[in-house]
Amino acid sequence: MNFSDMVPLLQTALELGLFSALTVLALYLSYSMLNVCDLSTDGCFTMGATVGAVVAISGHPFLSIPAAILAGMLSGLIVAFLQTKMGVESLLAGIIVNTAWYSVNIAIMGNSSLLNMNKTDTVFSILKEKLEGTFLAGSYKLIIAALAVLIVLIFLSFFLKTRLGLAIRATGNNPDMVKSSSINPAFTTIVGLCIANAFTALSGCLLAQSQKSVNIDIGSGMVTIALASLLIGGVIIPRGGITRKAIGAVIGAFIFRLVYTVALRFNMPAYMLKLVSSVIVIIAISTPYLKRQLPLLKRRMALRKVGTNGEER
Amino acid sequence: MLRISNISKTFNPGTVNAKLAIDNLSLEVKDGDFITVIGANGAGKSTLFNAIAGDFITDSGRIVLDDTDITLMPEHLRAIKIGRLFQDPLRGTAAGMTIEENLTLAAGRGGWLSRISHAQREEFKDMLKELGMGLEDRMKQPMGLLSGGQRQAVTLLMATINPPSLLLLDEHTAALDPAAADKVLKITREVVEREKLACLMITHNMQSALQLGNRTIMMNKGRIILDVSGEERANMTVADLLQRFKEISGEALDNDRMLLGVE
Amino acid sequence: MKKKLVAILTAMTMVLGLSACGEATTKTETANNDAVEATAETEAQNTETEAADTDAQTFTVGICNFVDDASLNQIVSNIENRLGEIEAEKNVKFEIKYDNCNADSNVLSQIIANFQADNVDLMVGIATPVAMSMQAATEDSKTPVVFAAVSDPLGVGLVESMDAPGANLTGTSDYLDTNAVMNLIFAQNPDIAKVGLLYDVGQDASTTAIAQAKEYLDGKGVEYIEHTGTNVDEVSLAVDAFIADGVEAIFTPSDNTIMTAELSIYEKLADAGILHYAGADSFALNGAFLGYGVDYANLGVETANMVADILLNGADPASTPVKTFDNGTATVNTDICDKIGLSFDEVKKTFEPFCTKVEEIQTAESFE
Repeated sequence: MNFSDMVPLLQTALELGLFSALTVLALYLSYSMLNVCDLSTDGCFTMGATVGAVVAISGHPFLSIPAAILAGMLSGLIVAFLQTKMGVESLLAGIIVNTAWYSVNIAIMGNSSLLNMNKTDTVFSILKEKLEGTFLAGSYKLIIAALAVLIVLIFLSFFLKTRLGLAIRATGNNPDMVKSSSINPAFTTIVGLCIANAFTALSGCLLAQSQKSVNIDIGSGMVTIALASLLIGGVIIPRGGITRKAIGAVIGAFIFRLVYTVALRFNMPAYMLKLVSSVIVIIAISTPYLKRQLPLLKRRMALRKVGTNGEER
Repeated sequence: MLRISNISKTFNPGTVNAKLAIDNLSLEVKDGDFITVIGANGAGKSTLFNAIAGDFITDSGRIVLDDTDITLMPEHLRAIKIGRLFQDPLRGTAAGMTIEENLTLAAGRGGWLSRISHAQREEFKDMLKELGMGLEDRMKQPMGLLSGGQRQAVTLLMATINPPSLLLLDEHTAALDPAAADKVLKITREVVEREKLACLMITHNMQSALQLGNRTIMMNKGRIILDVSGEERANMTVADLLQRFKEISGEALDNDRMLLGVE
Repeated sequence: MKKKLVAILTAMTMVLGLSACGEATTKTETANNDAVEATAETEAQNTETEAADTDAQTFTVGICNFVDDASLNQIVSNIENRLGEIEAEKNVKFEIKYDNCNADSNVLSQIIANFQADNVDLMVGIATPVAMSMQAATEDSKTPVVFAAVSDPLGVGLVESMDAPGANLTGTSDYLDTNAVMNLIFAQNPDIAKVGLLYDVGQDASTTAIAQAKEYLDGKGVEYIEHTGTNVDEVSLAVDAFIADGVEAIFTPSDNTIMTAELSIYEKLADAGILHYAGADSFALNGAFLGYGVDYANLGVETANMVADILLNGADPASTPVKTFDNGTATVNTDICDKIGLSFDEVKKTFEPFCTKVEEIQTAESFE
């Protein structure tokens, strides 16, 4: 394994990491801030991919992005509506919507389970053409991914400090307090979930278009990957304000993909990857805890060597 | 001013656990009234507050606040005119957010996309300075780092930053150490006097119940069984209260905390 | 805060810069590979004519399977065996890298990236989703891709035409002749009144086949009922529904999901006396009454032949036609015949006019 082999792999890991970082940021909003475990992420991700693909295939590469975002907002709206107005518990609401979206996504793809965008114009193919011949030619996916993540980061950083953003954060922290401030927590939940799912759908749209195909399984397992990335990010940047933690989430996404990449380079069969990623998450989370326990452990060991009155055993 | 007419509430109706928490209760609170509310555990004091604030909708009766019928109004809309403090210092604030951010939310100024302005920050600073707890220098610290007394003080600030018509205080000093409790009570009295708020305060300390405010009501089994004010109240002692209770309810008041006058 | 942002931006710029280098390296390496292949060609020819002992040329082939099922696994083992034979015949060496993405598209893209980092000379993609990912990934590198068991390469845009694919992809297709299977159903039971259609909407192989089946049944004026499932549990429920509906036969195209579920549903169907006609012999292996369609063992062999053609003889995928197979063989499960009370010999006689061959098979988990 030499370095020049690794560079294209690192690039792929970074690209994939950045695309999924959008979903991680979405979960940062819905899980870390709003304290809602949104299990509709997989379905929403796929919906962003299918809607974006259909719009791009019909000849509107640039429109595919706002279309996917709108689809995500709709998805978030429905999940939030179920939770706040229909009395459905949040976990269940996510699962219900996720299940429904499987059928809807196949319908969106014209009753087929996959769509090929090989000959379709997308923002990626357009940028690739523009950069042809320049030194940036091989990085067109990276550029778009990085741009998207940057825009979302800046938006979140700004939004979470506005009054509405504060209200959304408070809803996850203490919904009673939100009501005492004369704000309807149902409203903040709806806004929060709409925005989060918009990001998730954008993530799916961009990933599918960068891979030139979308199939019905493209989103499966996304919520687990994103949560794991979020947790890893939380370990890497444990303290800090909103912006720092968000950046940590993005880094977590990249590290997650990196682990897969490295594991594959060591010829690990693909089905072991999920075990590997679980182990990584466990290590990531328990290391700081164990580090804190170390001094206590040392003292216990020292005590064993010494009797109750201080004499050596 | 608050007018409660014949409200009732039964929890878990039709089941084994059915409890008649409020029983055909009526109460009139005038502007400027500072009413202390006492009663044994389970008498329905907190439930009454919950009914007024809108935690649940009453089964029957009417609640009118400042000429607005709020009987069916949702909680967050009632919160515009009603401020609340709880025994648990954690309940009134968002622990993960800073003092500044909590105050911004409570102040409710500006549109949804507004950010905290320099002028606002200065305003908060002045308000915190008045508390005299040194909090004006810690505005960017998360609420979770504050002590119980400090949190209650900030919660009080948050509840009164936009002066409400009614303040509901549910044993808000009970979980604090004596020094902090005194301080918070002092601040409470100042705020109520300054803003001329109507105020209902639950307390288990019969002594201070008679000393604070201008009116005292005693509840038992979801009903108000005693309502004293003016001279009658001024001349009352704790022993008198116990006697009256026995007469009205036909049973001795057994509650240790109340008898010992301990918070 | 600013420092971190600067650090991250710098890191990203570094990777961008490095990747530009990386891109250049890959291009030179591909050029080198072409040169190696050209040399390999001449050397292979030399070996044939001279029988001298030259160093055997090594070719790296990356095979990616979509999911574990009897047919797809059969293809893979046949590819590997056939390549082994060719190794001996032509005195070359094929280094095979095998992986299975288990229907996870994220893992799939990383497997393919891994193949590319290993500089494979050729990739083999089993089933449509894998082929499609490989198509996108090799857009720039033009690494030859041979797909296997893609039902409709033209329909999903993998090739421009079946005779002249036009790019770096070609392969073998297990396109199913639906009408032939329907003929078998009616041959066995001319008065059949209700036919069930069991498939997974998520499987692209099934869409066209089911549409054709419906056309056929509409033409005959026979009632049909559809039930679908996306995983084994749902398929099981679908079968329960069919039994309640009282269908007499069920048709399934070469659908990977139903295939995975077959072992768990065949007993129910046999008990209810419902004949399950499916589009691949692997179904019959796992307990369906009849499997009619492509011989996947043969498909594997032909795929390997294509691979050898491209690597050893320098065939151009763009002009190598996609190979389809005459679905001629009906495989009947004798255990099920016994269970339902049909005589295999009679069944064989009924089907013979419609197939090139009628074979028998007994229920097992996999082909030997």
